Amino acid sequence: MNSMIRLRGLRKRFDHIEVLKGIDLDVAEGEVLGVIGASGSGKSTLLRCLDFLEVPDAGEITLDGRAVDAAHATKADVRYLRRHTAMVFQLFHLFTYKTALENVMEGLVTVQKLDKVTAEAVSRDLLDRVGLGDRVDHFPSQLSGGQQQRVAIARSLALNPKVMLLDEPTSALDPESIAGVLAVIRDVAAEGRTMVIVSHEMNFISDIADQVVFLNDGEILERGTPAQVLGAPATERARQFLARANLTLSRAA
Amino acid sequence: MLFDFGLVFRQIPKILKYLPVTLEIAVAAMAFSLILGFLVALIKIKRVRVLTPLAGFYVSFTRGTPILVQLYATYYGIPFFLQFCNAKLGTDWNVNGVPPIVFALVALALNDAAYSSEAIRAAIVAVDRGQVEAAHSIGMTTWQTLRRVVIPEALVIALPSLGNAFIGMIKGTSLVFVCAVVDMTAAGRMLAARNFRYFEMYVSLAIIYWVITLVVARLLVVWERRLRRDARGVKGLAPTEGGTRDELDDSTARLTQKV
Ligand SMILES: Nc1ncnc2c1ncn2[C@@H]1O[C@H](COP(=O)(O)OP(=O)(O)OP(=O)(O)O)[C@@H](O)[C@H]1O
Ligand SMILES: [Mg+2]
Repeated sequence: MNSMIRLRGLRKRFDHIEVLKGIDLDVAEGEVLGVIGASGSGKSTLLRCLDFLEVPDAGEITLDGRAVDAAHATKADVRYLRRHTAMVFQLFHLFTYKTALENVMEGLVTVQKLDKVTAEAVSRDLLDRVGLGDRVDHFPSQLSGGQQQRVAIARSLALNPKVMLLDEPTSALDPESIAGVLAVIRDVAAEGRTMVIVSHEMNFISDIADQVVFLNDGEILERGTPAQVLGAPATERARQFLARANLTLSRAA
Repeated sequence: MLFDFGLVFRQIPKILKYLPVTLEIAVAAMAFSLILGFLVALIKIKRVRVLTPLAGFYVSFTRGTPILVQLYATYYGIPFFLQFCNAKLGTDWNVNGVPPIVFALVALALNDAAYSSEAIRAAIVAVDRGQVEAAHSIGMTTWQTLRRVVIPEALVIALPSLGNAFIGMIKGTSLVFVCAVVDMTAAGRMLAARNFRYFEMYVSLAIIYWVITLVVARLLVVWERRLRRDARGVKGLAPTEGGTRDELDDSTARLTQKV
């Protein structure tokens, strides 16, 4: 399989703490990578570095064959990475004064310079696909959290990104809305889009991910299939983390 | 007659002939002020080297001096500056040919921008960082993000203070007589000089300014409501109806069926 993302020695520090300590990672085209790890282990930072929302200090990011030297990224490099990846945030971050339709159209019109009519048709299709065909004229404040997150996913999909980055897409949602959002993510994964998902929903990760990495203190401690990493972790740290996660899972159930 | 009530209202149409001058000055000065205020706000937010301390000095100086002093300073300062340029740089500007309205516009805009820049800066900073990141993540450039996401939201936040600034600007135009501009107030003083009915004249002027500011304040409220697009109903749907649990279940159910 083609390599879609290739990270070598990715480093990031905030002030005096080193949050990413030289990450090496490969994600194949069409693969879904699950990222798990304790709070503060650097999962969000890793995702944000891929999109240059956070500027990495060192290392190399290769996206679909084009290598970017993180320490000396040019404007064109950043534009390339951002154009071909799209982030789905924990808190949705929809544009407040744009309707669901306008939120999805924004990237098509401003970035891809599509004409309004085509952009609208594409956007309506996407909103239909995430089950919000009847909510196109609603503003974010008129949508539930789950609906907002589905609009956000449609907004990311609109740009047809090579990679979708999802940072705890369901952790701000109430239990009823989670199912709907997970169903949409499953649907996107099924069409073969490369995805990197940070999530605390172990069942979902085990279900959807092809590969899982366990991040601990800025380093990848485990990597493998969900069965390997979630079922039979090699390190004590991972076992502890999973035991705690399962505990909260069973308590929630 | 001690106080001529009738005159107060009879002379209003005469003064109103100069209303366009007043409004033109206010609108043009406000436009310049907003552009300058926006630039100053950006300089402060981006912490541009050299320019940031300059902007800080400008704001502090302008806010710390009376508008009347600023008007006089501009009135005498601009010709002085032109003369200086002519002498030193060999330019050939007509020192006495500057239209009086230019002095008024420069002084009012510079004065107001010092205040507006703070309101604009605060509003831009108040816009949700997450939305800026979302815009970047779909590939929008800094400028596109500013234009399409940040400014529309910052405008809603800044509108009340900028609206007050505009009302202050309208009232401030009554001082432009010091720059030899004939606005409503200046025209009123000249009319009153003929019959010495100064008190009646100032009462008439007060009424006119008051009505103008009432109308402007009203328009601003309407405009603000238009900008807060999401607070209005959507196609026959009351705003609060949007995210109810019923609808949520409903659409989630439909989705789960579909996918
Ligand atoms: N902008 C920032 N400035 C300073 N420190 C930061 C910043 N962003 C993150 N950090 C620090 O970096 C570390 C990793 O943060 P990160 O958000 O990547 O963790 P995470 O694994 O996503 O955690 P969580 O599961 O809680 O979301 C934390 O110690 C955090 O405090
Ligand atoms: Mg995080």
